[in-house]
Amino acid sequence: MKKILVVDDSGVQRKMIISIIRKAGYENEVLEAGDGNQAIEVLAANYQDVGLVLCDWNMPNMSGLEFIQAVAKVPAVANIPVVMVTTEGTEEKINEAKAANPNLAGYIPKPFTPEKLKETIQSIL
Amino acid sequence: MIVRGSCMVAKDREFDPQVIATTLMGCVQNTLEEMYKLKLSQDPEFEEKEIIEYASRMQTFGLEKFNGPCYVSAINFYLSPRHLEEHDPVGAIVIYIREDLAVRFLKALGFEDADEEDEEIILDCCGELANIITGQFKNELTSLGYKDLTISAPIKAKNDIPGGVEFNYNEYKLYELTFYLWKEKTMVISITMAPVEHL
Repeated sequence: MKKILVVDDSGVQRKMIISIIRKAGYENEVLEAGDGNQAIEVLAANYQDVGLVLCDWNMPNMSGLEFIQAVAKVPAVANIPVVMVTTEGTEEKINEAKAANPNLAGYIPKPFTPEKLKETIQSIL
Repeated sequence: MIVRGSCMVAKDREFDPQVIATTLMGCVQNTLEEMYKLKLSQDPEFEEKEIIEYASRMQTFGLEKFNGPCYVSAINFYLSPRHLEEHDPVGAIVIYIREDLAVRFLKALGFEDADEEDEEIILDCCGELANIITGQFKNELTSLGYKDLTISAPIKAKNDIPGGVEFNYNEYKLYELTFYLWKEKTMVISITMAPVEHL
């Protein structure tokens, strides 16, 4: 069963996302990272097992945009579906994210309902 | 006039409070009522106030908002990531949540981990709420044709932000919105913004 990587600098937000994943019935192992740098480390150690990345945009050290851009450049992980979960909800930002990672599989603006997250995960996993 | 080492009120200057207040009010109401099905007990109150500055930072005075303890979170707006690095903000938003209603309010917003026994978690939830409200507000400004702003990570603290909050030094006014839930004053949001380019 593929792992899900949740990248968000807010521990509360990560917990909230994991809680929604669990309540939706997914038993996939969930990995966590607090910024883009940590996410790269986690992905490097688990790249063959990760089937979905849920990623915030605004984070310290390395932003979500920089992270998904870096992911897109590495063939071994470039095809992992990435979903942005972020307060950056303008059309301009969505297009910026799509340009940074052509494999962007979804974009969930905050605040979001649990149903929206469930639907998105369901369509990917 | 600002005098270093003393606490005083900065002088007056106009900005369009309607854009800020109505946009922010709409974002918060939409988030509470549409997303989380929370009914406001009455229309939000709006008040224009003077910024109290000390050592070039805006003071928060959280204890005065509810005549009692509260949780405070603050986020700054910048014209670009470079301005963020240079600590040169165009605005600031400060959110105060009454302490005795905080857990009820946060749980109603889906923050299931909020726990009266754990202040750190409550503060994290308040920071995330500030992030959501600020993000919605800036997205709404962008959709109205204003420049897309960069936002900082939230600062959060009990009662007051120690040392105050960065703000745009050319601004002298802040706008304060008060929200009532369960017939109680639950959340106060202060915002100050310098003019932002309309594209």
